[in-house]
Parts: sequence; C-alpha cells; structure tokens
Amino acid sequence: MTTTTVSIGSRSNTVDTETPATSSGSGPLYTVTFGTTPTGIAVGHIGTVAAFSWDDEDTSNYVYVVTAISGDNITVKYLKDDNERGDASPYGLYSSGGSSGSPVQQVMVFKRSGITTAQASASAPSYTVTFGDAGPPADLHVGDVGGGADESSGCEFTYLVTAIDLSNKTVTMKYVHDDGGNGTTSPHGLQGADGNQLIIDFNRAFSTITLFEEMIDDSSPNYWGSSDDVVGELHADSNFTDNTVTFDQKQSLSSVTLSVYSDDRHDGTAESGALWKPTTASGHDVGIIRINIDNMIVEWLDISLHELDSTNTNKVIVFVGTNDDNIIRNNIFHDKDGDPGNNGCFCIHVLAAGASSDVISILNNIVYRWENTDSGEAASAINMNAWSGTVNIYNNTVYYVHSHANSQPGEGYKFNGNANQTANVKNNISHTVTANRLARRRAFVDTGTGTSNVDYNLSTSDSSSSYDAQGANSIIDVSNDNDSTPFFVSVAEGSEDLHLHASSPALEEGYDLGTTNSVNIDIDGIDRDATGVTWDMGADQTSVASTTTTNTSFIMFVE
Amino acid sequence: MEIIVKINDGPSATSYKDGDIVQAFTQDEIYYHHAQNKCNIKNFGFTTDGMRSPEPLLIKYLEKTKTFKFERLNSNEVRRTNLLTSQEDILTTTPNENEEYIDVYQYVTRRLKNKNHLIFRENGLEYWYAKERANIDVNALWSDIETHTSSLQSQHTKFSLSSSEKRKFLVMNCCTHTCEDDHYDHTCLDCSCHCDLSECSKEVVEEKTSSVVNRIITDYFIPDPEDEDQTPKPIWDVEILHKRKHQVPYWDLASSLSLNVDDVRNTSVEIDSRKEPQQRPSVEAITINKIDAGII
Repeated sequence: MTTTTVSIGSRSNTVDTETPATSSGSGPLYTVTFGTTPTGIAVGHIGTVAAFSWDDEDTSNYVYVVTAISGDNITVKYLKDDNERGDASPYGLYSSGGSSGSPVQQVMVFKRSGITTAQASASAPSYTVTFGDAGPPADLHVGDVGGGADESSGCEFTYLVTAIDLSNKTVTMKYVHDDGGNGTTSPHGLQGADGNQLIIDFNRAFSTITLFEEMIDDSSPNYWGSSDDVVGELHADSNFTDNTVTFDQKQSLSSVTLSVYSDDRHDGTAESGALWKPTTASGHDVGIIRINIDNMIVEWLDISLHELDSTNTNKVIVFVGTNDDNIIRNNIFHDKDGDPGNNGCFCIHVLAAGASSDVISILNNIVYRWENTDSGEAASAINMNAWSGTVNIYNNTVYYVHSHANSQPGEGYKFNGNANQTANVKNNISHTVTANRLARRRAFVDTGTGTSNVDYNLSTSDSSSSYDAQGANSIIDVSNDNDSTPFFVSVAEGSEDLHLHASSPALEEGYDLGTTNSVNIDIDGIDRDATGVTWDMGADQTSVASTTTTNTSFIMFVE
Repeated sequence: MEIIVKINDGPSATSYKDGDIVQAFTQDEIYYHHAQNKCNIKNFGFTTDGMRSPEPLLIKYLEKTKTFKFERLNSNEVRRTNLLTSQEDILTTTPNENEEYIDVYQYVTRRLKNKNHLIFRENGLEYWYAKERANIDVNALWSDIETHTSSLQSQHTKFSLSSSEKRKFLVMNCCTHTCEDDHYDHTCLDCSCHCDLSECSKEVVEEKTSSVVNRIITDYFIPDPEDEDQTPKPIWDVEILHKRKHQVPYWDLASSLSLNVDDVRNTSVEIDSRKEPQQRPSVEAITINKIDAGII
C-alpha cells in the first residue's frame, strides 16, 4: 500500500517583492539590504530582477538564489540571466544609468522556487532532483507541488514532492501532469527540451480543505493512486475557513487522513498551530466535518467555533453511518456559544447506526466551552449514542459544557443507545457540565441499551449522581470550584490550557490502554508508555517518572 | 466575492456537479488570508533569551486580531486586558467569580517549548495575545503591512490557488450590482448600465455554498423520571441530498463572460477568469438556485 501525502494551505508562490537599498560583493555572491524589512524569505528561494543595461541597451532577467540570511542582510548568488551578461556587479541588482545618470535600483521578486542542477530518473515517474548552493527552498514540504514551465516545448509540468533530503540537497518529485501529453518518462519541467535546467515554482497541493475533499471524491485524481492511503496535511499559512467539508466518497482509496503538518500542530492549547476557524455557517446539523466513509482519521485539528455564535453551526464532527475504522484523535474543539437553533449543539455526534462490526475510536481529544444559550436546547460534547458498532472513547477531556435549558441536558459523554453497540469508555474527564436543573447535568450518560465497558473516568461534583463517572476505578464528585486544588493549568478565557495541573486528581489514575490506533499518544504527542508511570486520565499525560532517584518528588512535568 | 466552480460532473450521485459553486470567499477574507501570510509567526524570529521578538508589525497585527492581551505581573498574577473594551482584570491560581484561574508559571513554561510560541518578554515579565477576534478590520491590518513592508493590499486581491487548481476548476469573481434603473431582470454581466458595485457579504457566500438537505430524526433525549412529559424528544439531523444548491452555468454564460467552454472543460488548460473590481459581473446574474431552476 502506498501512502501519498499532500499539503493543504493558502500561501502563494510569490513571497515578497523588495527593492535593494545597498549591495556589496563582486559576484557571484552579493549581500543585499532592502528599503523595508523582508518578510517570509528563506534560504533557497529564488529572486528575480529585470535590469536594463546601456551596454547592450536591453533588459535582461536575472535569477539569483538566496544562500544566507542574517537579520536584514540577504546574501544572494547569481545563477543566470537572459542575455548571459554574467555575474559582474552591478547588473541584475540595478540598471545601469549609462552616461547620463546614476544606476537605478530594480525590484527583486522572491519566490518559493528553485533551479535544479541535475535529475535522476531511475525510478520514473519519480525523479530525484539535486539543488545547488543552498539546496531546495528551506520552507519546502513533502506534499507540496512543483511546476516547471518548459518554454522550449511550450509545456507546463506538475510534480508532487514526495521526499526531501536537505543534507544532500535533493528532492524527490513524482510526475503528476503535463499539458502537452509528454508523459512520465520525460524530464521536461525539470530540465527543458533544450537541456537547460528550469525554474520550478512550488505551491501547496491544495489551497483549502474543501478542494482536498473534492479530489478524494474524484475517480481520476491527480496526485495519488486509486488505492492509496491519502494524507492531507494542513499547514499554518493562514486560518482555514471552510464552513463544512463532507467526506462521503473515497472511491477505492484505502484510507483518508486529515492531519496537520508536524511543525504546525497545536501544543495542546488553542491557536498554537494550524487553526480551522469557519467564518460562515455550516448549515444546521450539517457539521463542520461530515464523515460517511470508512477508514478515515481526523487528527491534530484545532477547530474554533468562536466566530459562529450567531450562526446555525451546531456540530463539529458528524458521523453519518458509513464509519468503520474512523478515528478522531488529538484534536481540540472549542468555543461554541450562542443559540444555533432548535436541535442543540453536539461537538462529536453519530447520526446513524452503522454495522455491528464497525468501530469508531474517539481518542485524546479536548472539547471545551461548549455552550448553548437557548432556554430549550441541549449542549452535548461527545454523543455516540446511536452507533450500533463498537465505540472506543478513550482519554478525552471535556471541560465546561453548558445548556441553559430547563428541559434539556448538558452532557459530557453519551453512548450505548443501540442494542448492538459496545461502548468502551475509559480514562475520560468530564469537568463542569451544567444545565439549569441538576438532573440535567450529565457527565456520563450510559443509555444502557447495548453493552458498555466503562471505568477509570472522572466526573466533577456538578454532575447529577445518576450520571457520574461509572466503574469501580472511576473518580466522582471532584470539586469543580478549584479553590484548593487547581485541576488544569489554566481555565482563563482566552488562555485555556487544559493540561493537568500538578495537583490534579486525574494524575496517574488512568488505565493502560495499549497502543492500538496510537491511543498512547497524548494531546501533545507524548507517548504515555515512555513516561514510565501509570497513565493519567484525560487527553494530557503530565506525569512522568523521575530519572533522579534521590529526588523526593516522584512527579515531574513533561512537554 | 471569489468563487471556485466545479468543472464536469463528479463520479457519484452525491459528488459535486458541473457548475457547482464548490467554495467562495469574500474580498475581506482574501485580504485577511494574505495578511496572515505576511504576518505569519514563522516570519518573525526570537530574542536571545528565546522569547518572540516584538517586531512592530507583529505586535500591531496581534493587537488588531486578538481579543485579549495577557501580561504577567509577578510569580502568580496575570493582567488580562480585553483589547476590544479595554476592560482589565487580574488572574491568579485562585479562581475569580467566573471560576477562572491560571498557573502562569506552568502556562508560560509549557508555551515556550513550542517553537511557534507567541510569548514576548519585557522588563523580565512575559506577555502574550490570545483568542482570535470574530471581526477583524482587514484594511487596518493592511495599512500596517504597507507601512512596514513593501507589500501592497491592492496586489493581494486574489486567493492563492495553484495552477493545478486553476486547471481543475473555473475561478472567477463577482459582486453585488445595484442598478439605478432597478432592472431586476437584466444580466449585468458587463454592466453597461452603470450599476453601483459592492462586495458580497458573508451571508451571500454562505448561501451560495450551501447544500440541499433533508431533515431526519436520529435519536431521542431521555426524559427524567420527574418530568411531567415522558415523551422522548427527538434529536433531528440532516442528510445531504446535494452538496451544493447553487451553480454557475458557465456554458450558458460563455459569451458574456468571454469564456471558451472547451478550454474551461479541458483540465489541461489553466483558466483564471478573475477580473478587476469594476469589471466583475453580478453574483445574481451568474449564479442560479438549482432547486428554483428545476435542476434538482
């Protein structure tokens, strides 16, 4: 099985446009400063200048590569120019003024582009290309696409970046497409038909999550094979604003993963990595992510509903019914307020029964500030009640679920409402679940229709006793006023940090659930099994064994 | 408003169909995307002690996009300032009347381990900004960007799309036309009637990208024993019948929009039909409601 990773983000190929103010050097290396502070320029980027010379009374397009950056000083190396004037200063950084005037500084356009020095096609349609000097653009990522325009053949080629080796300055690029029908065996786009190496412009594979989903549904996809495991990685170029994305067809793909690039993942708190913040409504009950395919993973997302208080958006993840081997893990969903309409708000919600052999896993997620201000509607964080297969709800943290209704509940977790359901519910925290009436404050709702294995959970004292955490090893009636024992690091609005506080009663009270579906990886990416202590409850593993035997304190902090 | 239009039918009954408006952006949203790129945290470095460097552009950007500023006052206290109202309060490890508290030492220590952190320090005390605002003045953001960089707002009117996306979809833009003659039935594709042109609202974007759904009952809330009414209350949900309710029938508008339909449908040809603001067609002239038109 082949795994294909594609990048999703909004950054453009053009990085910055600057006019040199000063330059030093005698070629091919020049150190340049600009009138304003450059932004976003990285080593390996290409800078181009169109400069005029009185010597031949013509304009030539100069190409430089960024080889070093030190503060506002950028060192560029001359690579080529159209008129083959060479690297002698000053041409290329400014136009010559001839006998009648001073040289005129010219605009330099910086792009996420590169020029290869060679390509090897041993494993065509993949080519391993080598970049000279500083190597490929430092901000190039696996999953980006490179486009080369071969002017000699009038053809544009597209490649997918599948591997980057910075130490050897090589990038492996898989042929995707060309608009001249040349096919996979040609090196065109990397090297022109005339033998010259070409400038390759790099972009994200997809600009939005919706456009990624559209290709998942495509029977003739560009970037991946028909039976691949496809991973879409979000990059924190700008906020993702897709209001609803429906995964309801994946053709014959083996699996689909919606994830976040490793360096852009949240650190367990909101707005610390790639942020998905819809600006328009999803439609009532539609959900922001709607899943109706098997073998899908949603992980590392940070979805804020802060801007949607006055809209009908009332759900984040909606399982429609075809959901075997769906995994929702390591996500943060937060800040739903207002009145979304007449059905309450549900953060993670399953709609239909599915098959009895199907499995959904909800692992290491954080849900907080989940509030419905309507006087007659519910607020529910994780509601898997209708599912007829197995549901694993492990190591999640729910904080502050609030229904303003007399007749409807505030719920942390709800499950086991189908005779064929097996609900495995362990190591979860439900903290501060409230509604107007005590009986409606429900931390854990086991409907009791099917089979449930519920233990090692924690509920706070606000929950109605009928809906406290169940099981011999669960902890109930934890004070939620926090006066004496802070539970989390911070619950201050705006700086919520639901990592466990040093005094939290959830420390080392969990159960070792193994490694299936990476349940052992906490909200920060910490491997619980590597900490050497009993698992903590909730999404965060704070406890770790001390490596100093003389230390009287057994607990120290990681992350 | 910029719209991304599906070319050719998708393979399944529920797939996007030819002409469907897959995605749309307001002009402000596009400006904001570009502003975020310019002010991306990765464009700003660190001080020698590992704090985020308080570059003027970054600080101005955060002041205009975040709701709160947090300033550590000592080992236990943090001042929170609401940047929209200027209201201030003090947070500590002891809960306030809203049960809010913060252990600032643990909070800051954890944040500093993230290489994308946004913790600044002045006079030995940390400060940071948090919680994105719901409404952001993008023109003010761009005024700052133009002050501190060579980038111009006027050069960032289009959403960043790859050439692959421009081959696979038809990208175009449109706006709201208000006609002096109140001609509700004219097409306003080239606006020879001198309409007033204005940007489309978020509500228009929302409507034009909405789905066609059917409401269904999926579950019931359990009444409590003490409730007078023991009738379980249904939990309603929806099934999506069609991913999009609106389309752009580009094949019928080809002449007036200067499009070659064969080129549009040829995914080897890159088509970018985005126009300058004064040349944009009316959103109502180029989009149709597929239900009203009897298509679905």
